[in-house]
Amino acid sequence: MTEEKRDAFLASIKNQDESIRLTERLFEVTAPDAVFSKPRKSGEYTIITASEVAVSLGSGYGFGGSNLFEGADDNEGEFNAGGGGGGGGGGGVASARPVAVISVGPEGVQVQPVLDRTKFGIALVTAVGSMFLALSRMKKG
Amino acid sequence: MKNLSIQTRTGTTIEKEGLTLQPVTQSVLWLGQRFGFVWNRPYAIRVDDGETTAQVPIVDLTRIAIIILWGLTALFSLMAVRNQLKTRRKDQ
Repeated sequence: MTEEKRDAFLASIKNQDESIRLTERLFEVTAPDAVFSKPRKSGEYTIITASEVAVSLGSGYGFGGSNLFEGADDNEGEFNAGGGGGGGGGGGVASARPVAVISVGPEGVQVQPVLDRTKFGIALVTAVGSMFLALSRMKKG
Repeated sequence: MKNLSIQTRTGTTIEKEGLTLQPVTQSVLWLGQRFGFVWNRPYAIRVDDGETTAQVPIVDLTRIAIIILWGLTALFSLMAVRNQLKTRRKDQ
């Protein structure tokens, strides 16, 4: 691992406050600019794409340790060094899918829906499979 | 639920071909202390030609198609269950 990468991993989230701030940055995804692209000129037309965006983030922390002064009464003058540790983890997922293309041209504004063929294809195969099973059950009686 | 919010927001206006366009989005936001979720979708586009303002809805064709498929699957499953129940009653 290079030094730069190591620094990036270690310096990414230092404490819980930073983790909360990171979660709060989710608000940026709610901005309309995250959904609508910047207009692009293509010939006589200006094109704007509209996409659906979904983001989720999560993080967790845990700390534990023994009390430094535990047993101090019994062994007067002795210091119990104790021990402790902590750990944390986090993860997230983000997805975006084009929904429509908005074109502004001499004819005015036109909104053309976009069909996500992959998503539809997967849903179709699953649905047809389920319907086939249901039909075969019905035939069996 | 305090942490859940549903928002309708308008974006920056765009001026093209003598028209003023304003995007409208709808988002669902869940913000917990250690977990957050955002779903943001295009809702409509407002078109102002200087005289009138119209709102053109943005239809999510993929979502509609998938919902129809789910509906058909649920219908077929219900029919299969109903059919099985009828057969059992007859047998009894």
